[in-house]
Amino acid sequence: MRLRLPIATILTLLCMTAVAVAAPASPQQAGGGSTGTQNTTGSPSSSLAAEPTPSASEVSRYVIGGGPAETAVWPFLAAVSNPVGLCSGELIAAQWVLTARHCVQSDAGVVYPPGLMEVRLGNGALFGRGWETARRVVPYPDYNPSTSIGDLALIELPTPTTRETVDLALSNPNPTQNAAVWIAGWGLTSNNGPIPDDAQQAQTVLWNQAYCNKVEPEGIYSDSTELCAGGPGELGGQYPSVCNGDSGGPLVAAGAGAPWTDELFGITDYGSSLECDSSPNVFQDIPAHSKWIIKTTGLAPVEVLATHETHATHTSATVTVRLRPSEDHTTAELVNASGTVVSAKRVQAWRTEPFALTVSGLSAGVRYPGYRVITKNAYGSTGGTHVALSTLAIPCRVAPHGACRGHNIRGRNLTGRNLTGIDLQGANATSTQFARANLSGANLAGADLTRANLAGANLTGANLGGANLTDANLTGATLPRANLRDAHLRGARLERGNLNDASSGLVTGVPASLPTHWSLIDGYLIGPGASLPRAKLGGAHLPSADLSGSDLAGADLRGADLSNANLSNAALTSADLASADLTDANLASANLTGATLSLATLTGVIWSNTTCPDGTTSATNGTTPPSCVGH
Amino acid sequence: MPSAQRLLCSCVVLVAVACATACGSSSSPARPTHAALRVTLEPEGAGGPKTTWTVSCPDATRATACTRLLDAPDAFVAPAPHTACSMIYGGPQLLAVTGTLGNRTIDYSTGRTNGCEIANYARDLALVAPFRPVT
Repeated sequence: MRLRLPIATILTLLCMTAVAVAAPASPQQAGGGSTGTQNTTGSPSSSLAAEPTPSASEVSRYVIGGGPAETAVWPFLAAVSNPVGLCSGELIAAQWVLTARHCVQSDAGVVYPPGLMEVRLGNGALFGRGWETARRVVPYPDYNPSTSIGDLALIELPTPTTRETVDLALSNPNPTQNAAVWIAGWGLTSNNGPIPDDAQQAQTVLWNQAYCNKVEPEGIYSDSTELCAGGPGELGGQYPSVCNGDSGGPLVAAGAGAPWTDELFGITDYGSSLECDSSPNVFQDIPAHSKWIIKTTGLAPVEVLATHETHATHTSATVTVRLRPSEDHTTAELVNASGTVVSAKRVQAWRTEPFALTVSGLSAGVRYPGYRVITKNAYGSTGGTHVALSTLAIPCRVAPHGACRGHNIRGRNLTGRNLTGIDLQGANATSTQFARANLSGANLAGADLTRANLAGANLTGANLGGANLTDANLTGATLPRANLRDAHLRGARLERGNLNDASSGLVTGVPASLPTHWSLIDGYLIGPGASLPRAKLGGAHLPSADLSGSDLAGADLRGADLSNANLSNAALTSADLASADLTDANLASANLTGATLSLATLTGVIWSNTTCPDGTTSATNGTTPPSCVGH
Repeated sequence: MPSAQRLLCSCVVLVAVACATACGSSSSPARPTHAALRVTLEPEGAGGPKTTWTVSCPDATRATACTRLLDAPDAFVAPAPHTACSMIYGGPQLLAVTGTLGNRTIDYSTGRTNGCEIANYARDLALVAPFRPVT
């Protein structure tokens, strides 16, 4: 058998092999008759009962004899060899094994140089290949050999591994209760051997601290930094325990699933000189030492080294990210300005290759400055690195439904062109020739149309909200159902235009001309067929205004002067006409359902086929002439 | 567990010499002037080959070794019951010593199966090894 172990250990292990094969432990040697190989790999219990399963009668007396640790489920298990002995350990980072400090130093307290420390990853074939010489040994600095407090050490491997690591627990289970846990290692399978070729595992009980304080050596045991588990139970049972060779090995929580998916709560430290299981064994508490472990090994999530946008479509953007080499698996997340994770990738420890994070569902031609790439792992997260994303703009195609948002088409001659549905939102279209062009359904919101020629253009249903129409020529343009809210009309010419059903409000600037019967009052385009639902025209001066056929539903016309106004066929449903002056106004065929007419002046009003506020018609009460007064 | 049995020797966890001081006999016996011991070493553990030899002091031919042995009050002292011992495994070797050391009757054995035993084995083997006949 070829071993790459320190000489002393080779001798030790060769001797030990002879014992294990040729001279199995006698019952006496085994400390009470344990045969020591009962497999306890059944479903672990996470019960926190006084003494959780397994019960003494169900399992072997020794951990040691628990059962072979399943290869696939203890991938992080490690064997640790020094010049005088064998310990266990666990891979906690890509290049770091955690073990006990007494496993890396001599009896005289001298820490062995790395060249004398060897580690073998995996849980099988202790006598097989795969032993690696340590690159560095880092003992826990505050170790007290008199009490064993701080009995931890880290061993850096010569190269990082891709093996699965075990996560460190960052907080303890309830110290007042017992808990089911799993233990594993290469310790003896009975009190006097043999040591197994394959690591052993067993489920046992992590005892409450009150019990630990009672049974562990007074003045030595530290309930703030140590745990105790296995051996004699509080109520008299006997539970699997670790034994010699298990030092530094793992104690993990026994969750509902498999133990290997859970966190490392402790590492084996010491037991009784009588027999391994004659008193509960002591473990170093990992949460109490996690800060040192994380700091020493660099387990904290790594920073982003570089980001840059490498690919974009009209609706997606891809960021290429490079991380610093990490000791632990790291998840990189692309987070938007609202903090929502839009893309994520788990990166193996020590991988340095760039990787991509892609976000989709974006708008074309837009810059998104608020994204961040953050990194996180079990031990925290970084604040993140800002990254700006941009999507590709759709090429401007000056054609029906073309996407020319924000484009510059200044001065272009588009006379007579069919530009139905074109998107020119925010475009620079100053002095552009649109005469007789078909711009129905076009989006011109916010566009700069200064001095644009829109004479005779078809702007039916076009969105001109917020557009700058200074000095624009809209002579004869048709604008039914167009939106002119917030538009600027200084100097604009709209004579002979068709504003039927056009909506307005907050319009600024004084136009040079408007269609016959139209006027601009209080930011509204007032004229026959105007679309003015919910218009705020309270107190407006509208004498003789032609609002025939207009939509004034819900409009605020309180106190407005509508004397002689033509409101025939107007929709005035729910309009507020309180105190309005409607002297001689024409309300023929107008709909006033739900309207308020209190204190309105109604002298000379033409009521003809008018729908009154109460929903009746003006002719209902048979008065001559018909009227809504008194309804 | 009785309090006496719970008296665990912290130093035995790792430090053999200090342990011997703290966990040995409670009083300081007079320095022995003679030793007559029989040593049995099983370097491969129980069932393997055995080597035996005797130790006799004073011995003019091994004066230094005798001085070291007679000056070691902790020699061949086993850990007190329930001493805390680290769970490092050192191998199956066995060392047994019987006889007298001054007024002490010695009937002692140790292995290397935990941190306490590894330390004791190294300490005690170093005391008796110089008397081993050269083969």
